[in-house]
Amino acid sequence: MERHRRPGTGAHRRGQVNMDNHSPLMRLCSKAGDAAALACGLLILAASVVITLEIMARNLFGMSFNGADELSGYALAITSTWALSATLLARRHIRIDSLYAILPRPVQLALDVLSIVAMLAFFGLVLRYGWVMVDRSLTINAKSMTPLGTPLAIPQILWLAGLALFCLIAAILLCKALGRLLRRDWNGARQLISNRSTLEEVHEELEDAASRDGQARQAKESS
Amino acid sequence: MIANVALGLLVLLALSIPVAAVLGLLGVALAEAYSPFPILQGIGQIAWNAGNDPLLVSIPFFVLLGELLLRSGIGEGMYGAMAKWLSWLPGGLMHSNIGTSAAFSATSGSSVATAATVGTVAIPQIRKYGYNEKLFLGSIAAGGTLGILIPPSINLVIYGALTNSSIPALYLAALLPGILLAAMFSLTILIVCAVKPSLGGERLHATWRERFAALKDLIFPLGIFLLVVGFIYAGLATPTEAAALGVTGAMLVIALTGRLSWAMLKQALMGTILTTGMMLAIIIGAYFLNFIMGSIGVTRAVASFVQNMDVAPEVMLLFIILFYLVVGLFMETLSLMVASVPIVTPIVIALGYDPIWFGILVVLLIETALITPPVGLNLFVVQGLRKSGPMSDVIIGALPFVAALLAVIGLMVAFPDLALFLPRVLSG
Amino acid sequence: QDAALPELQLRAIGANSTFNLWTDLEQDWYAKQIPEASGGQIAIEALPHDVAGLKGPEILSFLQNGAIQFASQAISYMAGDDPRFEAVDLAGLTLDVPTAMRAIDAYRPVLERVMAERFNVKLLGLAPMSAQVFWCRDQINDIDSLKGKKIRVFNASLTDLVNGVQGSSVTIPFVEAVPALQRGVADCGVTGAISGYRAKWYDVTKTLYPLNSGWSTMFWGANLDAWNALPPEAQTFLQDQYRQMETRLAEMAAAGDEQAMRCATGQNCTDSHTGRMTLTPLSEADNQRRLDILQNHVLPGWAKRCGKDCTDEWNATVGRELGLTAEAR
Ligand code: NA
Ligand code: NA
Repeated sequence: MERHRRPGTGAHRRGQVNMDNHSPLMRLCSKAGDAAALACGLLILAASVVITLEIMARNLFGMSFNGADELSGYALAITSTWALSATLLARRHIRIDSLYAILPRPVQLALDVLSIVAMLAFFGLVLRYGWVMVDRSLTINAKSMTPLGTPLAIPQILWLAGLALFCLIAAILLCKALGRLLRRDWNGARQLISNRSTLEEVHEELEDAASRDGQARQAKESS
Repeated sequence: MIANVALGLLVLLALSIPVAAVLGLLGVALAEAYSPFPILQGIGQIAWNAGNDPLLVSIPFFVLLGELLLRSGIGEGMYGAMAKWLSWLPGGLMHSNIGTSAAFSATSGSSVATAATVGTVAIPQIRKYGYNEKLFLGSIAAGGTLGILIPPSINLVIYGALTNSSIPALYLAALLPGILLAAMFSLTILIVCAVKPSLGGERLHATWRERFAALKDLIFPLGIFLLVVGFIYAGLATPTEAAALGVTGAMLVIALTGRLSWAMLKQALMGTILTTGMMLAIIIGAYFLNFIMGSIGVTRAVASFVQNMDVAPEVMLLFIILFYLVVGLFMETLSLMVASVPIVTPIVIALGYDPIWFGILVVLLIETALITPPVGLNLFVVQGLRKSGPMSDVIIGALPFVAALLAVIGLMVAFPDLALFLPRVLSG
Repeated sequence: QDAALPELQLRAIGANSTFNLWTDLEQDWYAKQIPEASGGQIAIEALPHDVAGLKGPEILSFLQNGAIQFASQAISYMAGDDPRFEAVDLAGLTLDVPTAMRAIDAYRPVLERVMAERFNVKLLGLAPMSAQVFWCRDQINDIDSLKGKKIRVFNASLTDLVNGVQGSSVTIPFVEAVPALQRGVADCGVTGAISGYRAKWYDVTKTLYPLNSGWSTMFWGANLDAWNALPPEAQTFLQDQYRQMETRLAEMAAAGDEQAMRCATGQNCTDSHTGRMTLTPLSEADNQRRLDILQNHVLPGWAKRCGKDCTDEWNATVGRELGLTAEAR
């Protein structure tokens, strides 16, 4: 298995799977997951700015514009589902691998498949009954009972979209992995769904430190 | 039923199924097996509630704060300075993990947020300074638990609401045990590293001149910390709001010192989301499992078992402590508190113990639950922040600190004044 | 009569485990009163909603889809689902329990219909739980003292009231309310007289000002399908039991509020915990201001949320009973 490395590029950070030898579809999934995650990150950053402004307005000018806490609650809820995909692709969903580590590779692969199926099953149920909730919110035009009176369907639809994206990406990942298993491409399947191997991560760790040093240097030079 | 829950949990977790899916699917299985009503339909609503819980809103802010400190190089400078000052101590930087956690606990009401913030900054330092990973990781998981003991504390507020105890009194009562526990954690590191010096990091030889020169690297982190604490204690902001303020403060510092770049910010944001996503996935699963366990009466069954025992007060207290230690192995902690405290506290009060004291004891037990396997949220958070290595590293590394917690719990039982002295003296 | 009752095993979700409704009423009612009154035929296993891992506002949707059979909940928590759920609980609407009950009785048919037709829920009872009053850090002499104060709000009609007294509203999550009052992030908080006393808000505040901002009116309800599936004798029995519970809660509200306010202010308190707050009663002038704010801020705000038909219906029921007219502006 030959893995090309481009030290310091975004895709490698944080244990992301190397997508170079993956199909366009997988690359699209990866891009979608990253984009969703980045959007959430900006949402959290925006929430912190809005809350800071609210604190300042309240304490300096005695003004109250309420709702920053409510909106950041929605930001967190949306993040909770939109982050699922990137976390899956980066293989950062926590698995307790004490036993896994000592099992033979074929069993490991079986458990990897089972893991994706389990995630898909649970969050698929959340998606299904989440839709029931959103449908109800739309039907009765539910609003938050706060001063803001937000129509709940808006944040809930965004929240549900994150779940749908996750289920879609997880299903694609599962199909691709099963396809590779059927072709007896064990390593290819491992690259898609296995727990991050120690070796792989040592490389990343080094890369990460190198790029951080590089950036810190850059920052210093530019200041 | 209880045995089935425990067994199902153990088997699925051992198979390395993602923790979030294990908790959630176990909830689904229990709902199907034991509930006469379609409570499964509640799963969407519960997941939405978990995501939008005011108790959790501060978590991404704290994680982002940690990421910003890390990615901008401020965190590295901070640990470099602390290494110069602490390296002579057996265990060196691990003490600064405890100290930083204790300081952060004064701003954050949640243990998970504390562990995530400190861990984000500290974990990349392990290899740089040649530390034994296990103990280092354990010190972060354990240090993080201080978040719910040192005020502000979400858990103490909830205990106060459940038992009609005064929250200011609980906050006062938690101060000494909080400091004691931090000291005990440090002592644990000293002892472990004295017994086995290879566990401590490389000794770094620094001159006094170097040490004082390094202090400038502490200015920014300290400034951000003082900003957050200052706003909370001056009554200008709630702890959640102050967390957001910390992010804005860190952004300003980074911008003013010329460290801000889109690449850096993007990395910090992605890191924040991956950490938050990992934590929230587990929290969604845990909330759903707890809803099902509450609905079908698992927790109550255990608690009323304890309630119905007819034994001496000391023995009863021992059983209650054991109850929390055992159930705490498996259960998400906030729900454990809500489900058990209303049943257990009246018994404890009837036995003649003080409710304020018991509140602190419960929080210490909850802290223990956060770092005991198989379900320990702080263990998961620390593992999630690493790039490599098995979960067992974190579990083993946290064990000495479990011993420290048990020691403090023992001290609390032997000397209730540890908790009760300050409230008595200061509130007259 | 008991002999005619069928044997039934039911489940209910009770009020929050910290509410006096649960601790002083529901807990015993479900565990003892129902089995006794039914001659051991009917058993209801009940659990407070927070212990079941629920937040509160979702109770109605769980009742609606049958995930829960029976439940109680503060009805205004669900105002987001339908503005009519806050119609009897508007801030400043009523000052005492008998008047609150008159408003409830006038509006009951409307709520019964909305619950059944829109939410698939059988409404079994409605009663005020505790007067929502102001707990402030500073001395409050009259309604004008609230001007410029940072007041913690948690729903839309309270926000309208706070705007009316020219206070500034802050939203702070419940768990942060007491520390926020202690440190002055908020100058005043509004909560039930009973729950504020029990949660020792008197530790962090100085003045109790009984400008009523609602009653935390509770409702008991059942999933309509589950209810319709019950034998008629059981329905009659349960309806009667819930109406008794309603009466008990209204009595408890009146007596409990009175005692809680005495104890928070250290006046003739028999309880071991006493506060040293000052009670500033509502003067006649304050009461006039209340009515003024009600007419010009609270009712118009609600009428806007509720719409024309809904407002007309309220005017014909609650409005006629209390001599008020709501009008959107
Ligand atoms: Na804290
Ligand atoms: Na545990």
